[in-house]
Amino acid sequence: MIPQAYIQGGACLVLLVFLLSKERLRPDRSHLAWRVVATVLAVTALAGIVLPLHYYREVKALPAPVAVLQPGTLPKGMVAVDWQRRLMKGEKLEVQGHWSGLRAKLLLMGLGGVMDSTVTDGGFSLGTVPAQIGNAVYQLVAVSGADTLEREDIPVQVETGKPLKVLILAGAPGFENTFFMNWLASDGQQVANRTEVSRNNYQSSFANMLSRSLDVLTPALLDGFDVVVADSSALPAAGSPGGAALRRQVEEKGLGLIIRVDSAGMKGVGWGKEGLRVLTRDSSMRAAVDGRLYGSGKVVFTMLNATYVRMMAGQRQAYAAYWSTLLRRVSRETGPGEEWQWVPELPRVGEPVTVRVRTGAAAPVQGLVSEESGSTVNVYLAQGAVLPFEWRGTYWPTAVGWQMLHTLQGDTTWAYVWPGAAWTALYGQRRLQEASAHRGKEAQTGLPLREAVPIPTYWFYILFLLSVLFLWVERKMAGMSGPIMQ
Amino acid sequence: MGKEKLNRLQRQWKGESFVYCLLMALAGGVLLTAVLHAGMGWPLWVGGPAVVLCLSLSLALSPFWRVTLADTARYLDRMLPELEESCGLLLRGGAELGPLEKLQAARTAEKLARIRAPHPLRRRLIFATGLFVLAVLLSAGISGMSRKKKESKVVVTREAAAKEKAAPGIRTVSIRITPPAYTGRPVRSQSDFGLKVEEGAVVSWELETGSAVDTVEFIFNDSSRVLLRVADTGHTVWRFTEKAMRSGFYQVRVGRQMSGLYQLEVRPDEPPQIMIVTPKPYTVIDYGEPTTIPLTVKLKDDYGISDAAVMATVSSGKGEAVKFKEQEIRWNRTFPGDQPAYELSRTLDLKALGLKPGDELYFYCRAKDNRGQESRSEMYIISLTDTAQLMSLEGMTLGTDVKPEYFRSERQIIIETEQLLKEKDTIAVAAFHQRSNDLGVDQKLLRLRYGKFLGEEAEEGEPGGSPGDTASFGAFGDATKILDAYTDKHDNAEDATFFEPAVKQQLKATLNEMWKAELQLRTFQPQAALPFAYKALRLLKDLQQQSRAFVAKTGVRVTPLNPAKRLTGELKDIQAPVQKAAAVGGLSEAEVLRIALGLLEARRVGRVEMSDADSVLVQQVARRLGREAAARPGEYLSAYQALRQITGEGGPAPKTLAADIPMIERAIRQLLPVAEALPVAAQQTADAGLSQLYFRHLNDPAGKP
Repeated sequence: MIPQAYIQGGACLVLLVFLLSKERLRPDRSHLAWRVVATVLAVTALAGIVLPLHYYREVKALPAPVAVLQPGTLPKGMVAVDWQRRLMKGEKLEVQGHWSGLRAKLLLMGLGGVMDSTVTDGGFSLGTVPAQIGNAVYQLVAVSGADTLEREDIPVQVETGKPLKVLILAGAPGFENTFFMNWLASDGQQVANRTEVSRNNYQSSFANMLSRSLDVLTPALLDGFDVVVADSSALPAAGSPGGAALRRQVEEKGLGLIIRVDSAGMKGVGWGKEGLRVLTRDSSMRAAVDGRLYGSGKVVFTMLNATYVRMMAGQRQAYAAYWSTLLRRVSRETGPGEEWQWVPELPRVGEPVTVRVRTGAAAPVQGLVSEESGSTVNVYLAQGAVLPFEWRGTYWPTAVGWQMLHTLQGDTTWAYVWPGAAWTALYGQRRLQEASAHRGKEAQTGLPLREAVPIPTYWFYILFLLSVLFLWVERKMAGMSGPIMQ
Repeated sequence: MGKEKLNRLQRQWKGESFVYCLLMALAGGVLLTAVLHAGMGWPLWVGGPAVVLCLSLSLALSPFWRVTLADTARYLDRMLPELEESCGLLLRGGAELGPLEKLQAARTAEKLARIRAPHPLRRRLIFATGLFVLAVLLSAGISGMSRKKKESKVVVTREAAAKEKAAPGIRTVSIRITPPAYTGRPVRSQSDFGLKVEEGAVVSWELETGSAVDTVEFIFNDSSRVLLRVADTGHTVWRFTEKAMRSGFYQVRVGRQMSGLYQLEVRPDEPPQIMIVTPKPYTVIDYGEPTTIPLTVKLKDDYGISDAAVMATVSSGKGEAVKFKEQEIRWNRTFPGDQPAYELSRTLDLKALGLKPGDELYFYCRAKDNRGQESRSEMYIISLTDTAQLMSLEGMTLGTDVKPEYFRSERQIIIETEQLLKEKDTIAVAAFHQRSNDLGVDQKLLRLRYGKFLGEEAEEGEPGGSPGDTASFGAFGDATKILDAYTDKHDNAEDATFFEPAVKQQLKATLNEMWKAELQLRTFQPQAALPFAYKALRLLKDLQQQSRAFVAKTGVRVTPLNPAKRLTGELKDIQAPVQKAAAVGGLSEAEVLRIALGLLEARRVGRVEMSDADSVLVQQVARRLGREAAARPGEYLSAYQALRQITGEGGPAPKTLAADIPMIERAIRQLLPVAEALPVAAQQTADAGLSQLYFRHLNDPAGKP
């Protein structure tokens, strides 16, 4: 379809050509140039009246937004704080955040004493290893001189997990495995140790578990362990049934494998070296421990085979920290439970909390919140549209303190609710950030920098009238002084 | 005359009105100062301006001080009718008055002289005085209150000083403590149950109960019970005597009522403490240094020192021919046994003890206190350098024929110096000076040779610059010089530029000694140069022997292996050993304490009910705290008492229980070591098998997921 403007424009052009030719054909040649100009102007004015013509101009600057947030004073106090809510026994609690205002002394107090303190007027980081097992409420206190500026509760949960099951395969008796086994056994883990003492002669030791035959590695045997710690010479050969069973367990069932090697074996012999990642370096920056994912399990190669020296030197904490971290990373993961999450992370009494549960349950999930006073509140959860294992709901806490969250079948999780006047500086800071983000969004609505303004048609009308008037007057004048055109 | 009286009255009233204003101003000012100081913490000198302000205010407001003579006259007229309204006449001068007026003025003056003037401001003055007194009292009260508030603020933050709770049923108690005789302390008595006594002191209690009771009992450490002896017929006075040997706590039971726990702290008698101030633990006396050592010892004991001595051992000889001679050196004073601190000093004359160069003296101090406990100090060592051994070359000539050049140089200098000293009397002074100077030059050359290792002055004083000196103007951009600073030239041993810092320090010390020797030699005092030269030689020898490595004798011949017999042992009779171990079931002691901390925290925030298992756990912790309180009552007794009240054994729980829980937690934390990390398995994310599905599908895209 040819646009209408082009038809109109074409018609005007045709009209112009016709009128000009008529003018040329007129015998009277007086004021021909003027007549031609007038004709052109008249047709142009006609086109201008008929066609929609625009001109572009720059947009004027927008007026300032009506509501500009000018806070009288920035919120003063603890404007940002975070810490780990759930810890394992022996893990270090770190409370980090930002203090805005004059220089103050921040204390982390709990369990009857002061655990850590620092003097700051900006970022701060306080840490301690919690002494309790269970729930405790510490306090983060800001003091300046003799005044307490702010005091907030820091709830911490410390748990002990389920014991690990470790299988040690050793090519020769040695101190390293002895100390390792003793340490694991003293902590209550289940350990089995198969050591080669002579050709085809093995010594088996068991701690905290029933004895069983360890000569051949069968899938059934390996199912009962979470981690296998083996010397590279004690591992079954790759082709043998034991080797194949081990490989399958690591690849498909998620078993963890720690292989003690010397520097020649660090390239991942037999287990591939794609994705090999360095976990620890020694003092000369060479890789001492590195590992990779292998299927759904993990394989770690370690050159640090004299860690028992630390234990002998009395550094039991360092020894425990190193091996706990390594074993936690490598071992088979336990079955999934329920994961609870709530937003905001620092809920206050009377403000709505969005609760999210991730669970593998097939049936609809109902959440229950038991407060300190003993009353139980039902939280009705809606299944997520995209992820069917995610359920969300809202509830309004009415009591301050620990709240027990659980579903009808699941374990309990603890949440803490603060009083309504807590964390004023932090919420103030959040509101300020949200407001400025919102203002930033508003300024970006993408108005065009130029706009098209239609040319007002009265100009064309005037022009048309004037030029037609001239032609008519000229005609009349010519007619008065000459013969009229037939 | 009348006018004078009027004048006098006016002045008097003016004065009174000023006093009135002043009193009001003072009252206001004092009150204002007190309020400002107590309420807003302003300093006290604010009082001055405050009083001035109030004074100006009161002067402006009160009109009384503006009284004029005319006012006086008018007032008198009004107040005293017998003056017949004629005081005004007295004010006008005598010349203006007519005869009648003069008469009247005279009469008025007469009357004025007789009457008693009124006191217009009396009531106001009394009121002002009263106000002032009231203001003073009020401000005293305000400042007193504010001070008390400040003090009470401080007290609340600390733990309230333990005011002992009276035992129920006991009216008075009197305890007499007799310290052991050797301590020299007097007998004392107190009326509190909490005791801090010396070890072995005899404590005797005398209790008076409010009414007659059957039994009064002491329970020590929750375990042993003793009945008190009744001392009078009315069964109200009870006595008990015991010797205090161990710390603990005790309770009083009167009839059926139990008191709180009281502390019984026993301070043991420690053995004396010995501190040797001089000399240092290891002293080396070089050639030329004096052989007398000052020995200063400080002794300290709880009650008294009865004996002290120094045991010295002289060791002479080397290797298997070492001989030891032991002797006791006594101080030149007696120890009567009643003074607890001494500062003793004497001089050890090594020659008198029989030390020769190369010998060593080991000594220690011992002291005995008046209880008979002995203690001894560390062993201190003084050794004399053996210059003869230094000069010998044994141990270095074995196996090698090359004598290290630098050692020969230093030894040579010493040998030649001693030769020079021997010949001092036979040669001319100028020759002596010349030779001494030559030796000094030799010493200087030796020092320079060593100094090269440290990058110091090279020969002829040309500055060599330190190895890292690349920033000098001439060396800018010089590539070789920059490389020079950072490369390790290890193929030329003499120009080695890298030494360990410790070795460099020792070399510096050696150079220092060599420089001192050179100084003495150049100033023609070779006798004084010898000690420095010997010391330099000793330091050099130490440096050389430091890096000496001892290697075992090589060339050991062993019997060769027989491959036919290798690994042919019969193993069929050897059984595979099986070992089993099981951890002790249940929770460890530390875990019990940690779980109890969690339970106490729950209780602190309000959850009062505990399950039976938890109660058993808390009782276990209470027993553990009890054991600790018996050993160290000062630290654990109050926590133990509070925990007993929580578990219900210690009587009814008082209202302030929630405030005691932090104290109990603190005590439990003192018993715990830092928590050790546990290996636990990580948990899979709860995604209903979604990631497993994805993983299986990754591995086998064609087949069924």
